Amino acid sequence: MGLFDYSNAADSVEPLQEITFLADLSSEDWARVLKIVKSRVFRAGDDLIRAGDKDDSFYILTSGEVEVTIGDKVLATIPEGSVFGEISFFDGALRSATIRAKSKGSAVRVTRDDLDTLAAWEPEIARKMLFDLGRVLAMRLRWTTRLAAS
Amino acid sequence: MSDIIKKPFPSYLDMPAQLPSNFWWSFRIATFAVMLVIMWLVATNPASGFALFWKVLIPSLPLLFALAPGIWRQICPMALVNQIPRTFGFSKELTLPVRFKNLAYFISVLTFFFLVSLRHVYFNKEPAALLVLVFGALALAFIGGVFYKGRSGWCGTFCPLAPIQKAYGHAPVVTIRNGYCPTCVGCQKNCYDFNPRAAFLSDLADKDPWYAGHKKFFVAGLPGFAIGFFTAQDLAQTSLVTYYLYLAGWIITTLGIYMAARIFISVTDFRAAAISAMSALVIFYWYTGAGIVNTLGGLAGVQAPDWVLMLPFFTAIVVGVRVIFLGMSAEADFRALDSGKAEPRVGVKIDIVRRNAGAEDLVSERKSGRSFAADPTRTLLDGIESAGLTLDFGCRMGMCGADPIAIVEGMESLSPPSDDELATLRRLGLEGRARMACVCKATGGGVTIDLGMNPNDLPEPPPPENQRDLGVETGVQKVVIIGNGTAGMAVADEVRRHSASCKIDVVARESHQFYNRMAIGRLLYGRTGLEDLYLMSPEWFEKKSVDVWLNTQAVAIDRDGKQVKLGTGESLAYDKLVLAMGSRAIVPPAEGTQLPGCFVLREAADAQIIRAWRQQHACERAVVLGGGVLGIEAADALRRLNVKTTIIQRAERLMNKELDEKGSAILRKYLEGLGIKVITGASVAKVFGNARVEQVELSNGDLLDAEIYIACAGVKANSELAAAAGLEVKRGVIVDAAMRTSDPDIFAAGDVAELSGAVSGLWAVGTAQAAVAAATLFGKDASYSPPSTLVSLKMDGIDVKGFGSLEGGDGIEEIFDANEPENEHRRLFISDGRIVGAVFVGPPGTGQDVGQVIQSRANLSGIIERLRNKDWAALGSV
Repeated sequence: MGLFDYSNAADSVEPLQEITFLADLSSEDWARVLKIVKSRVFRAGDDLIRAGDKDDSFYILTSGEVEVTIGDKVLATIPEGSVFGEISFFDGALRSATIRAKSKGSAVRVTRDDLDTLAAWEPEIARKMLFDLGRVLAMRLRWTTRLAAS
Repeated sequence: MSDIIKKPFPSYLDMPAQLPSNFWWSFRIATFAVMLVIMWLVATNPASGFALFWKVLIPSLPLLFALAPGIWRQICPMALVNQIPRTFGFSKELTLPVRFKNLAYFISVLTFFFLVSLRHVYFNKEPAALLVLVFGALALAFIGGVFYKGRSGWCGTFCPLAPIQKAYGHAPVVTIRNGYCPTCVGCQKNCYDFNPRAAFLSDLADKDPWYAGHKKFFVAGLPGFAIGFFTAQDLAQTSLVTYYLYLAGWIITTLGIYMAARIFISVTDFRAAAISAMSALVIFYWYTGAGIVNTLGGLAGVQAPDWVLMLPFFTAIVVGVRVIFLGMSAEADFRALDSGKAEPRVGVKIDIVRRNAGAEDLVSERKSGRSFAADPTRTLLDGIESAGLTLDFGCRMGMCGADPIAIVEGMESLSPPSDDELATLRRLGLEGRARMACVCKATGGGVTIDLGMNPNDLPEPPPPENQRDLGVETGVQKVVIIGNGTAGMAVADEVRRHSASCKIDVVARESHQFYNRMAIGRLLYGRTGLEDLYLMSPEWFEKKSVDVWLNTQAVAIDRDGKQVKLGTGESLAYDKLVLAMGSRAIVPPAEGTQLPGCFVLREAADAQIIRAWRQQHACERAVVLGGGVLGIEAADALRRLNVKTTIIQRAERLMNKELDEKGSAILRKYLEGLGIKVITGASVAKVFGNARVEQVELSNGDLLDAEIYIACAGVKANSELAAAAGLEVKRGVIVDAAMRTSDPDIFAAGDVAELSGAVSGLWAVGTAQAAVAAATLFGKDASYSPPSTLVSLKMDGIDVKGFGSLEGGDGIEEIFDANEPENEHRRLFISDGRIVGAVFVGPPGTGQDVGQVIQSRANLSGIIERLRNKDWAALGSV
């Protein structure tokens, strides 16, 4: 589970650390981003994403907790602050799981159109966002590879 | 670290240091000194030495291990000597072989049981034995430190106190940061000093059954060992063999209870272990609590009352219960992580994002069950889009009627409707039942909307009583309207309001019912057809008895016979005729513009043809002539259709009629950021191609490859029919302020009409003229007064608004911010408290307030000071 990834340990494998998404964006930068992308609030039980939906957006969970479900099965809980949904953002394919709110909360939703708009207004921030999303995807792919290998 | 995502299992590297390093070094040395003093007492005055060691110091440790094990990990004298070689740089820093890493805990468990059992034999009564034990342990700890790196030579591996610290401290009430490892060298498995909350959980959950097994063995046997130890017969009266058999008996008993609990009530390993460990703690203090109090009392020279004797025991119960609860919470986090298969987490600086994201009240959407923030600065349409829902919108000014939404509850928490919105709702027959999503804002919570409900299905308010029928009163019983665009349909609606009996025929050249012409770009790039663009439901036409002749051309007007002749050979008789044929796009003359691939984008059919053309010929590039609102909207639609588009603008800048230089520059930069190329100061000289458009030559000689050419360079009134009928026609059909043409029975409204001083091509103008025409034709006195002629670019991602004159002049005050952000431009020209000219360009949503103030023609005298201080939020309060 990565709880004992001794990150600077000489004899440990390369760790899969936590990524802070857009870590070097200042508060002013975020204010600019949030002028363009929209924040969405939800109540417990609301579906943020529905399996089978076509929806090219990713989410940043700004408050509350959501869970990943397929059918009746809860696969995982996503805590506050997490970034999710980036796969459909990139490939535009149908959502594979439902993301349901466990509590009330809010999330920033970024669509591909939003990224285009952001790129036109704030090219530097958009570049960072795209790069960081790529980093997220890469990290999750590494994790999947490791999981498959184990 | 509160700005980083909350970690359920922070490692010591994630924790702040609570106290400075100097403090801990002093504390360590002091503890070491105390230990030396006690050992000196053991040697010189065994009675008090033993009492202090066995009755106070040692019995205090279990509670400390449960409450704040980190304190002991910081100050333990064995840890101190173990870390001396590392601190002073003479440790060989060898890596403990994996074999020992796995074996170490087992060795320490056995050593613990064995050494404690020897208390009755030696250590409780032989000073020399105790001294050997203590100094022997210190020596081994030191040797471990000389050879092995990190804390792997003793603290986390062989130390006999390590298992009990992990067991009692598996969910510390207070977590103290590891203070010995400036950097983690990854020296041991599941290091307790690295991640105290996760170490024991990870041990028990280890895939290696042997590794996890002896942890379970230790913790399950611990309560039995404690009972056996404290209840064993005096060794003077029993043999050593009996003594050890007795201890083993008790260990096996609680081990059995542990296994039974696992098997029969399926309690998890971790819970069984936690309960077992805390039982051992409580058992320990049941036997030792009174001794601690009495010893301390004896040292202080006081006799403790009976209830105080039980204090350590009860404290142990409270602490034990607390640790069990903390442990269960840790276990839940651990399982959550495990069920997520430990996917690496991605987070944001949550505080910063949240600070900028705002709003807490909710607007609920019934059909989807989704909600969005009730934000008085954003429209319901913005909210609906933010919730990932879609609603077809049009003008975004509350006028076209594209996005009425049913308000199920909370009407009172919505911003009051403007005159324009009210007029639209009235036209749609939805006043009091629905709101236009594009302009309405939620000022508070408790609002429920329903996108699945047709607002027309909401209960209708009763019609006003004693309504007059002007048709009956004036004898106007047949009204024919030519054109079913904005003006034509507004006339039909107004005529019906004035007269319930009058027959209304609408002759429509297009084959579609009244649709949202402003949104035809969506027909280009969207997958849905025209259905989403219709502005009136089929029921509306039925309810209002408006007969629309679709795909029908009016070919002549017989003014004497008061008939409109149709291309089908039929005729429609009228008492009053309203011309609302609108205008058509003009294609500036240039060689080659007759080639296939040259288009205009004026009506639905144009958009459908262009979309089909783009697909048939796999078009990749387009040239749009015209950098006004229509040209830019067309270019954006093509971009969304994945066509590389270039805008050619004859003037030196985009939207030159509405915007100033800076506004145009921001707009241009934005479009270029989206990938739309802009060429200004040029026009199209020639269009080339072999059978269809392939290249466009500009007036400056540039050649552009393009398979699509769209002219958006102005419109021409469809006034030929009127001219042929002998009506006075110049650029359009000449009308007076009552919208009468030169024939008193014929009226004109909208783009086809020419009225001195009136602008054309705007929705608001068309509907205002329609209202006047409909009133006049029933003999009412009405006169056109121009509405607010705000021009908005209808494009996602940017707000562009232009209004009135940007020239200034006497009595006109200009307000602007010289230090405005690079991406936002706002100039207001105010005269007598009202905006007479304005320009706004900025990110989406930022121009709404300006737009609404202009449209409502609100008086700004009350906020003029705030505006002078560039407090633009004041516009939202009007």
